[in-house]
Amino acid sequence: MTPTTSEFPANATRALTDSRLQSALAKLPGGLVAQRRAAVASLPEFEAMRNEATAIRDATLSNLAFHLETFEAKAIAMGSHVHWAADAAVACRIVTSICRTAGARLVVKGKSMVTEEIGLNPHLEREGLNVVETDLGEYIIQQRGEAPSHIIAPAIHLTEADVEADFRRYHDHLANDRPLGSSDSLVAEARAVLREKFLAADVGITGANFLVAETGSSIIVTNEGNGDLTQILPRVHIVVATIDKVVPTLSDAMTLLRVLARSATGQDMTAYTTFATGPRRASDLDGPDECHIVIVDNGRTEMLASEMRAALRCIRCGACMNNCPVYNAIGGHAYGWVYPGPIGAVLTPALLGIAETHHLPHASTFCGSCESVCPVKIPLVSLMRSWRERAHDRGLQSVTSRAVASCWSYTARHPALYHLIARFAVAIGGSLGRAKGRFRKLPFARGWLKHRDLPAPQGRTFQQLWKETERGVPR
Amino acid sequence: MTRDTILSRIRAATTLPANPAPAHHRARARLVTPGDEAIARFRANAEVKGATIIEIENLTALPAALARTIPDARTIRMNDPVFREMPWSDAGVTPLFGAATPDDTVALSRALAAVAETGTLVLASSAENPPSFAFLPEVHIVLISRSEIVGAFEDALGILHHRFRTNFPRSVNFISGASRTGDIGGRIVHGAHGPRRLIVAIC
Repeated sequence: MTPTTSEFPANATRALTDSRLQSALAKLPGGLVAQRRAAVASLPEFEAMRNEATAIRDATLSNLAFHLETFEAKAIAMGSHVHWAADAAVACRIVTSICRTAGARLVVKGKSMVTEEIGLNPHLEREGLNVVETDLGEYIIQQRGEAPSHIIAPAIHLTEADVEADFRRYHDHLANDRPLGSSDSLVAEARAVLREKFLAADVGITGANFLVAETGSSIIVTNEGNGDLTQILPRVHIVVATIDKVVPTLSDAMTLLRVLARSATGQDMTAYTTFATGPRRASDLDGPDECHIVIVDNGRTEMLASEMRAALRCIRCGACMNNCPVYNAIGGHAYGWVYPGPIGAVLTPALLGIAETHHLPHASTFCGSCESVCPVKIPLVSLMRSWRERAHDRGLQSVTSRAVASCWSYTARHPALYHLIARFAVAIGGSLGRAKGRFRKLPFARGWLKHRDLPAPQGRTFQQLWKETERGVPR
Repeated sequence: MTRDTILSRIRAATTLPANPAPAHHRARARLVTPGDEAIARFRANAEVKGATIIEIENLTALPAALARTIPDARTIRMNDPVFREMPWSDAGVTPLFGAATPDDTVALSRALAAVAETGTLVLASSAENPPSFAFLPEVHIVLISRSEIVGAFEDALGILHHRFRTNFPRSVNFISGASRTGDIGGRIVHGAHGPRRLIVAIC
């Protein structure tokens, strides 16, 4: 998809006034957020597991080439074909060529963020293939021609009524007067339509939550079972995964799985966790004849060589966006590309370049909620701050914000000047605002004051108060 | 060559100081001792996920127990030899052996292990237990013996390692409840793509 990351302020403004989006987003705090909190509260070891998960990811990234080579050797020994792709274009070409060799016409897909990132669907469609997303949320947004608005709940921005309207338009071979008023009937209809696709498909494409070096397996987790039908029924199974997905052992994978589902949906395990290893064996009654694994770099080696390495720990649970006040206010599409929320604000500049994406690291109050729920403790706030610094250094911000930042920086480095200005502001502000105790209007702050009042200063500066308490004088 | 380029870029990147050293302790779930406690926890955790649990005293009791649980089932797809000698006709059920077809409504598999920690079944693919049995039909039934119910995931991995070393079968499936989705309006609906119903027979 064409990124609209450079239009973030306009996207966000539009999202804030979209009442249907706002009613869909209003379900987040009582849904995924509350479910995660309950799951974590019921597992006393959760914090220890977060630490363990973080250590596994760090240790693996520190020795990534070794683990990838181990994975590759084992996967080949188990009968898989392993391909390497330096960037999106090469990855798309590899997948196309596998589909062509297989004589494929219909491709079914399991949910995969990396294939969104590399733009696989439009590529395959240009090559004349019919591509069908089978995760229900992905299927819905594919019909609408939209990107996912959330990494685990791609259609979270839509209501049941939206989906009903889409299904009536898209499934025009079905009776017009059929009842579709409940999510049960919508799911049943999608199940029936997609079952036909599964049975007819030539190629199934999935991502991987993890690649296990020890066994040469790919792991996918789903609740619907669509990923499994995708990798059981078609003749050819293609796994697309980035280099950071590898874990050394099954035991490591289990520790990560223990924190993944709890962080994502509040489940202790998703319904289906599947370890797929190679093509069908001679005696098997089902499974694909060929298994291909495409290992994609697409910017990860650059992240690995920079302070952004910590973001490669990400296991794509979505907890950071569920708990982000900015994401909760504007949803995922405003971020303008594939990865929304705090992880998107870190990952997208690394993958698309800061020039086009410099608004995203500013889409944060730096409240730290994202870090506090991240199952692999990615320092999202400091990584966003680092992108802000890089954007500033490159002169990407507006003249006004650069001027303000420069003034602030100068003042902050000169305490005497800072103190003088603070005392002046407190004295003036205090005397002007004393009558009402707050300001409704101030010069240069109309936008900020549109939704809130600024309390008037109450006599003394923070530094004055600090000095008094330091001397033991109670306030 | 792309492969070598990527690997050499990774090697170049990882000569930088590594992140803090890994902790070697393993955070483990509260371990459950095998036996009655594990069976009770498995049962409770699987039921929370919507599975129907039936307990039978011996294998010959399975057809009658299933006939009581799913009285409408006339045929059941199965292929594990353990099911061959069971009294299916007495229960009014026709067993269908061989590969699954799109018309099958009920299928029966045998699990390798079950995990009390989360109420999870562990199935390994083979000609006897093809993974399509677990995803194509409307109802999936899984037989597990009491002695194969373990406490934590690590115990199940131990069973897998003992059986396969690191040469896994094509598919190892961890199944925790029936198929479901929350993708439409955030409400959970069962039977998204896989079975609407999961029945676990503990023997």
